Amino acid sequence: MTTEAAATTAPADIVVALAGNPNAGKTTVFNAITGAHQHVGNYPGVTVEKKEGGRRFDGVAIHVVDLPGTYSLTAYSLEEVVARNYVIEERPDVVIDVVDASNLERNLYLTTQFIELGVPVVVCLNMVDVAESRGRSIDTELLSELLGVPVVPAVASRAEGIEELLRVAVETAREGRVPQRQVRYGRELESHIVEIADLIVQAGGGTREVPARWMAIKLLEDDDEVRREVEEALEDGDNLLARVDRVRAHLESVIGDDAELALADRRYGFINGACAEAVSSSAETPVDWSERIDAVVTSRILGIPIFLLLMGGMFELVFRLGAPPMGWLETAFGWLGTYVSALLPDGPLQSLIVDGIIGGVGGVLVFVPQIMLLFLAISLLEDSGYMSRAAFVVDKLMHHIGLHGKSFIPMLIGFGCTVPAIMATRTLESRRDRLTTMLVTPLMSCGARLPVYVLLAGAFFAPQVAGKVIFSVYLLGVLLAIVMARVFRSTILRGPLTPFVMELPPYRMPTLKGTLLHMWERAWCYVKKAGTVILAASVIIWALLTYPQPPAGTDLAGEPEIAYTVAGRIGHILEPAIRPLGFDWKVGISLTAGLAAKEIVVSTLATTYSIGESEESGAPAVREALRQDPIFSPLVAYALMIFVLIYPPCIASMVVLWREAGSWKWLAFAVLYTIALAWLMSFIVYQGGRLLGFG
Amino acid sequence: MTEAIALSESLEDYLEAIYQLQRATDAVRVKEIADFVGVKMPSVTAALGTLKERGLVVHERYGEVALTETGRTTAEFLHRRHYALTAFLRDILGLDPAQAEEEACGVEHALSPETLRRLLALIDFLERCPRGGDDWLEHMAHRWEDIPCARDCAACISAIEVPDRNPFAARKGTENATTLDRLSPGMRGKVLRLGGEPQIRRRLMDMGVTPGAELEVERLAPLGDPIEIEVRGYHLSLRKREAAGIAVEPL
Repeated sequence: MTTEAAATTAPADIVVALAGNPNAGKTTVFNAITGAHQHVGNYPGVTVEKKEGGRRFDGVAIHVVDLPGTYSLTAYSLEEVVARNYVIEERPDVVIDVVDASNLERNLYLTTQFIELGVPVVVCLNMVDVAESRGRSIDTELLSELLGVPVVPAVASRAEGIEELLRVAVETAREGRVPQRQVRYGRELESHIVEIADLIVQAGGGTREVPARWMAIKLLEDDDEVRREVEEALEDGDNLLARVDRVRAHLESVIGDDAELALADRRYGFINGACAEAVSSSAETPVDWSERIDAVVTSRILGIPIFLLLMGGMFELVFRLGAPPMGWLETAFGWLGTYVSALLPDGPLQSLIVDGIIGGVGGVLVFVPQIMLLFLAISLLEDSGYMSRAAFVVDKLMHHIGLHGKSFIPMLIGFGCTVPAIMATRTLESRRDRLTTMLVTPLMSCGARLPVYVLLAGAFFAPQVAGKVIFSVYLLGVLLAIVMARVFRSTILRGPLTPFVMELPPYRMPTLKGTLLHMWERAWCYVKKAGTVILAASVIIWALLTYPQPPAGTDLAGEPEIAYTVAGRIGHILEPAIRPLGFDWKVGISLTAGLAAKEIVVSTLATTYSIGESEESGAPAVREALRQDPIFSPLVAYALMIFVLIYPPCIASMVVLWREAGSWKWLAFAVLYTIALAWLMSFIVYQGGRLLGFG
Repeated sequence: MTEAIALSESLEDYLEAIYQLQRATDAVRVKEIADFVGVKMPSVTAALGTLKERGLVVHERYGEVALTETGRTTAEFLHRRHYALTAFLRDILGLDPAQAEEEACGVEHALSPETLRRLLALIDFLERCPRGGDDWLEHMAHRWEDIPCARDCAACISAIEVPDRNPFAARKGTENATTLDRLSPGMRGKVLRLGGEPQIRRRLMDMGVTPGAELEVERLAPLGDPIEIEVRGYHLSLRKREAAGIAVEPL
C-alpha cells in the first residue's frame, strides 16, 4: 500500500492518457491498472470530471489520466474538446485507446483520429472474450500492422492482458513511437490536405504537438476550435481560412458531399479495410442475448411497465433501504450531542459544538447512505446497459419538455431527496440539459418537505381531504418543473436540442469492483466537495437562529426568545414582503430557518410558538397553536405549503447544485428564481383564494 | 442525366462555363460567357437560345443569364465528369496535368454516366484497397505492370465492397429513395445522404452512419419514438426527427 500509494503522489516517470468510446470498458481498464489508487477532480475551468490514478510497473511510476469517453475528437461536445486539448496541450507520453473488440469498426474510428494527431498510441483490444463468444476472432498482429500502432488484447474485467498492456505502453512511451501509418483520404482530398498543410506551415503553424496535416484535416472538417486557433495564432489567418472555405466549396462540388462526410467516409474505409483482413467471423452466428433481452425490455407492450418497475425498485432501494442507516446516523449524532452536552458546561460553547458543529456534521453525513445507494443503483443501471434503454423508452415524454430521456432519473430521485438527485444529473451529456434538469429538480417535492405538508394539512383540512391537498402540492411541483424546463430551454438555456443519437450497448454483467468503486467515489466526492460547505453554512444558520440572545430581564413583549435573534429580526423585516401571501413574521422566521433544511420549519414553528421540541407532544401542540393563531386559515396554510414546495429545499441541495453546476452564478440564479416563483405562486393562490371568498 | 447526353459538345461547354461563372460572380452576362469560352457574343446568344428552349437557363436579352434547377443539376454533372476524368488521367495514368486537362476536354463528351460511374469506382477502389493505395500506384507508375503481392489478396479484395461513393451515388438510388424514419422495423436500407442540422450530421458521421453504410431498423420505442437501428454491427437509437434527415435506399 505505502509504496504503491507513493506512486500516485511521486513525480511520474510516464504519463498515460486513457481514451476510448463510452461503453468500451475504459473505466474497467482504469480500475484494473490503478486499483484503488485513484482520485477524482475536474479538468481546469470545466465541469468535466477528471479521474487520475497511479501504478508502479516494473520500476516505472505510471500516472494514468482517464480522459472523458468520446466517439470522436471533433469539437462536437465538451468531452471531446477536453479529451483533445488534454492530448494536445498536456502531451501525455502515450495514449492507451481502449477499443471494444466486439464492436471494432466504430471503436476504431476514434483510433484513426489519434493516429492523425501523431501521438504515441497503444490500442487496448478489450473484451476479446465477448468478441470470441460472438464468433469473431481477431488477428491482433495483423491489425497492429495495418493500423500502424501496437495492439494488445485484454479482458479488463478479469485483469487479463493488463500487464502486457502496461509493458507495451511503457515501451511505446519510452521510444516515443508514433503511429506508422496514416489514413489515406484519396487523391482528391489528399491534394487539398497537403495544400492547406503547406499554407499552415508557411504561416508559422504546425508543430510536433499539433501537426499541420492534422490541422488541415480539421479545417476541412470546419472545426470551430481549430479555425479560432488559426485566426488568432497564425499570421494571415483570415486569408488561410478564406482559402479553406474555397477548397471546401470546391470539394463539395466535385464530391457531391461536404468534406466532413468524405473524410469520415474515408476513415471508415480505412477501418473497413483493416477489419476485413484482420477479423474473421465464424459462419454460424451465435445467439445475440442482448437482442433477445431488448425484444422484451424495450418492446411496445412491456417496455413501459418494466421501466416503471425498475424505477420504482430503484426508488425503494435508495429511500427505503437508505432510511435505517440514516436513522442510525441521526441517533448516533444525537447520542454524541447528548454526551458532549454532559461534558461541557451550558452556554454558547456547548451550543456551538452540539447544535452547530455536531448537528452540522450529522446533517452532512446523513445523506451519505442515500447517495451511496443511489449510485449503486445508477452504477448497476449504467454498467448493465439498461440506462440507455430507460432513456430510449421515455425519451418521447422528456423530449416534449425539451429534455433528454436521461433527465428522468434525476427528476424521479428528486421526490426522495434533492441532493442525490442533483448529483444524478451527471449521467447527462449535454451541459444545457444538465443545467435545466438541475434547476427544475428542486421542484420535485422531496421527502423532507412532507412533514411540513402533513403538519399544515393536518391542522387546517379535514382528514378526508388532507391527503388530496398534499397530493395537489406534489402535482403542482411536477407541473411547474415541466413549465420551467420549457421556459429555461427557450430562454437562458436556449440551444439546439441535444441529438438523441445514442448507442444502445450490449447488456453486460456489472462488476462488483467497478460498482463499489463508483459508489465510494461518489460518496467521497459529496463529502469532500459539498460537505465542508454545508457544514459551514449549517453553523452560520445555527448562529443566525441563536444570536444575539436577549440580555436577561429584557421585556420581549410576549414574543419568544427567537424573535430577538438575527433570524427573528429577519422574520420581522420580511413581514412586509410576505404579508401579501398571508404570512406574518413567525412564518418568516420559520421560512428563514427552513433554508437550512425543511424539517427545521416544523421545529422552528414550535419554537416561535414557544412549544417544546419533543416530537411526540410537539406536533399536535403546534397544530393547535397554528389553529389558534388568527393569521392562519386553510388558505394561508395552503399558500405556505406551496411556498415550502418551491423555495430552495435546503442548504445542502443548493451547495451541491453550486458544485455540480460549477459556478456560484447558477447557485444565485437557482435561489433567486425559486424564491421569486414561490412568492408568485403563493401570491396567486392567496390573493386569488381571497377573491373567490376562501379567505 | 439523359438530357446531359443529348446536348451537343459546344452546348455542354457553354453550360459548364455558365456554371463556373455563376460560382465566381453574382450575375453572369453574355460578354463574360463569350470571354470564358473564347467565342463572339452572337454565338453565345444563339447557344443561349437553345439552352433556354431546353429549359436549362433563364436569359433576358442583354440581361443576366442564370441556370434553372435542371440546368444546375446538368452542369454539376458535367463539371464533376470533367473533374473526375482529369483526375483519372493525371493521378492514375500519371499523365502530365496540362495534358490530362486537355485530353479530358476532348474525351469527356463521349462518356456515358455508367462508364463514368465505373471509372470513379475504379479510382476509389485503387485508393482504398489496404494492399494497394498510394504505394501500389507508385509501383505502377514505375513499372506499369502488376506487382506481386505477398498476401492473400483475393480474400482482401472480395471483402472490400466497392462503395457507391461517386458523384452519381445520390442520384442513382433516387427513384426508390426514402428517409430512415419511414422504414418500418425489420427493413434494411443503405445510407445515401445525410441532411439536417450540422450538429446531428456530425454526430451521425462519428457514429458510423455515413453514405454507403447499411442499416436495419430494429424497433420503435414503446411510445413510437425514438427508433432503434443496427449499423456497423452495433445498436443505435435516434429520434424520428433525426432519422428524417437520413436519405436511404431500401434494400
